[in-house]
Amino acid sequence: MPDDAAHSDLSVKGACLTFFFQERVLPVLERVEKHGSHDFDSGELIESFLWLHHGVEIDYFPIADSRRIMYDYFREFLRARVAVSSGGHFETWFTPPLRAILDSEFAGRAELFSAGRFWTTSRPPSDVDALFQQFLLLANGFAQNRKARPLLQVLATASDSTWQNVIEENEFVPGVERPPIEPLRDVASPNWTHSGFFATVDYMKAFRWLNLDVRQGFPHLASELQQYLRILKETQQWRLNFGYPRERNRFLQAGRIAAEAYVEAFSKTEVSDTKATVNNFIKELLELMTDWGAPIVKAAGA
Amino acid sequence: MEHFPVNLERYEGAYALIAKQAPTTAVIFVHGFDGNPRTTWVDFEGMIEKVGSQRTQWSETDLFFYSYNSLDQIPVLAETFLEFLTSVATLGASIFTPSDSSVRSLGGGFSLGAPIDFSRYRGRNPYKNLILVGHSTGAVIIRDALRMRVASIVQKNENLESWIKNRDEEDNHNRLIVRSSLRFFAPAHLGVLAAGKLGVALHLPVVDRVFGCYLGSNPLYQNLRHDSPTIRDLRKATEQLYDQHKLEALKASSLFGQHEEIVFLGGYTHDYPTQTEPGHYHQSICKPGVTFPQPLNFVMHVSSVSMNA
Repeated sequence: MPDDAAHSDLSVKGACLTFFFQERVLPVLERVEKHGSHDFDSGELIESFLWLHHGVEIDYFPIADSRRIMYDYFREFLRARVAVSSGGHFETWFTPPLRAILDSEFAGRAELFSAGRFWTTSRPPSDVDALFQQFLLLANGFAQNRKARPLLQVLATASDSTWQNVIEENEFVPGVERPPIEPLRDVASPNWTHSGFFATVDYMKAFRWLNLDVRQGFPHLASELQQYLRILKETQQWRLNFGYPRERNRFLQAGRIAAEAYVEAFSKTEVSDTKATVNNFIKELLELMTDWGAPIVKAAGA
Repeated sequence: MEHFPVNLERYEGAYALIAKQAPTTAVIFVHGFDGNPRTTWVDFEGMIEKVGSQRTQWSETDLFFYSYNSLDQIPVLAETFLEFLTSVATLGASIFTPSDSSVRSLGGGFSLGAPIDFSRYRGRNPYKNLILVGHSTGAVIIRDALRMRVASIVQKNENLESWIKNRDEEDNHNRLIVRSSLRFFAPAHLGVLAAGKLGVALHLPVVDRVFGCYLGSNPLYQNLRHDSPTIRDLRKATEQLYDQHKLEALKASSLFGQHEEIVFLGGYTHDYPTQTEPGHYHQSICKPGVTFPQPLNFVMHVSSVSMNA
């Protein structure tokens, strides 16, 4: 029956929003309430707003309930927006198209979720919701990864001296949640960032896999869809901001010490040339990092 | 879009993709050592939207993506998984009750419109089929959980044939569990190779070789060596149980990459013949794509064969 179909459709969209709210928005709000706002939490809240925005555009999230979330937590979102700006991150974390969306939406001069639309003259293609869901699920998993998050928080927000203490002295950073400690064997200099580093690389590989598969499945992507997929990537790129030398070099540094530690642990028995293996590892890592803004040519620190 | 996501709050990191239609089948995916469900099964849900011939079957299937931390030994992980498996087999849709109703909130009282009403448009009938899909260590966890459950059923029921034919509702979930179809990608059920061998697996991306060294440095991973009591005893117990009772849930189909570099290839004596895929390795074998639909076919096609058997 049409009524049932309409109910089902609305319920499914509501369920998608509930899932997103519980998995993505609520944990950050709880952290902010408990510990106060940090730049990284602010970045996460802004990112979650952008996911809401992109989901509403394609009718994946219901607009009325999405607006309710924003109205109910507008103070927290606004504080996050201000914190990202005052921390000097707004220009470096978010690309011009995202900044335009944020500027317009937070200015309050138009209805919420009406700015920065990609499909202005036509409806989004019918299968875009499935694509959005795939990228959203992957991004959500990465955002809540308890190993990757502490490393990325330090990578994105710590001072140079704090970063060096982390890398060279294996120090924890106050205010940054510690990752689960894993038992290790035969590793001369374990560092708490190692598990987060490998979790991040795992995500980068999965993202590349998914992105490649989407492009193989849709070889003639319409320009709106191409732009839309690009904005989904840019929305999360502030965490892996490898277009900037500081973040890029820090990640490469973390990668090099992790590779050296684990290749060294097996060098006496199976790995014949530790140095060459580590250098090749860094080359492959740089290639993966190009998805997230690293220059295609050899970069500093490589 | 055939499925939508639902939280499974009691299991951190786990989630489900729920069919819009009334489901007949539940597929539970269990990732490998130090893995996670989002990256391990990255394109399964996307490919489901693209497959033609199997679309009807997948659209009547709920997908559960189980998650666990690789900080405990296999029997402990298997016990927790068994609890999850029982919830799915027993309750059907009720397992996602936490996000089926109103949303938790900071201030309380906040809810997002009308909660989804599963019973209204897809019913609350229990599943008719279960498919358990494991990658690497995930396969060992599944096998150990099933060994535990079958052993416990056998202990309680002297006449297993009559128990299987019995229709009392109280134990229907266990009858569903012992009929589960097992689909394993690069299972570690015969154990892992010496971790350092990865260092010389030259056909592999170096990133994967170094990641293998990282895994190899974890003592818990070493418990999966082929001569460890965990691996040896699980095989022996499962083969004995199958020999006596011929239950489908003890018999697995396994798919390996031709360049498998982490685990020993093969299965238990009574398993279905092992299959290999050219050009693939441990991490890639479980990731379907437009040019590699085999993982999807492997899960659904083989399962339909065994369901009809």
